[in-house]
Amino acid sequence: MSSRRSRSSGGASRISDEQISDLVAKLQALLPEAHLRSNDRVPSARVLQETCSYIRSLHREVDDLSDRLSELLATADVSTAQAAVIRSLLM
Amino acid sequence: MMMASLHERKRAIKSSADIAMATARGAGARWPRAILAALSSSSSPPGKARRCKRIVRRCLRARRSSRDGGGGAGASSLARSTAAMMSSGDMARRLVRKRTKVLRKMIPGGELLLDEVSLLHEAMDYVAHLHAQVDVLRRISNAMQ
Repeated sequence: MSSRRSRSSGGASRISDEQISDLVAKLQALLPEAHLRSNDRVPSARVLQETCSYIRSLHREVDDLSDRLSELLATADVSTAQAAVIRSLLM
Repeated sequence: MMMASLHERKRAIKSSADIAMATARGAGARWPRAILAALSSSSSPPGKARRCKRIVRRCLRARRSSRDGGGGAGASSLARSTAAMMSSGDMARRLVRKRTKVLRKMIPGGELLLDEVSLLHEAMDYVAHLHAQVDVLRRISNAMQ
């Protein structure tokens, strides 16, 4: 694992190891099963990889939900006020 | 609209959800602009984006919430650097660089981000947005059943 100490000679505009490492940990916390890993630091490359596949699966989920919602709206009773409102907002 | 194909309806729903969420996010991240730019150039009814924005703004005004978006892009113009993400070794360096490139492509507007810090902030913000979008679509679906 890389050293946590900053490699730069102190300029405020330089990105420190610690800053990046911190952000990677925050990103890791958003991934599924994050609670199972607790405080174990996962290597950056792995976090990046998992983030990509997670975003892909979320995209798929949004897609599937949109499909399901469009089917529901198609079969919903036209006279329902609720369906009419949702339809006019979304379509 | 009942004549529209299932595919068209699905696309309309998805683009409405995208417009609403991008508008609600507002400034502070890059992906909303990228989504809105991409959608305005595609063939969606001209009034719809405006309608969605108006509705969202009205809701936000009513709530008067000053909620911060998760992660918020701390957009400072820092020099490009992958040094801090590398473990020792060429292999690790190449891997991080490769995966960073892939991640950039997954995020709308990601290719315009110049440094790792911005990219990581944007990734967190975008993941939080997708969580919320899934949540919203699920709730609407459940309400319809």
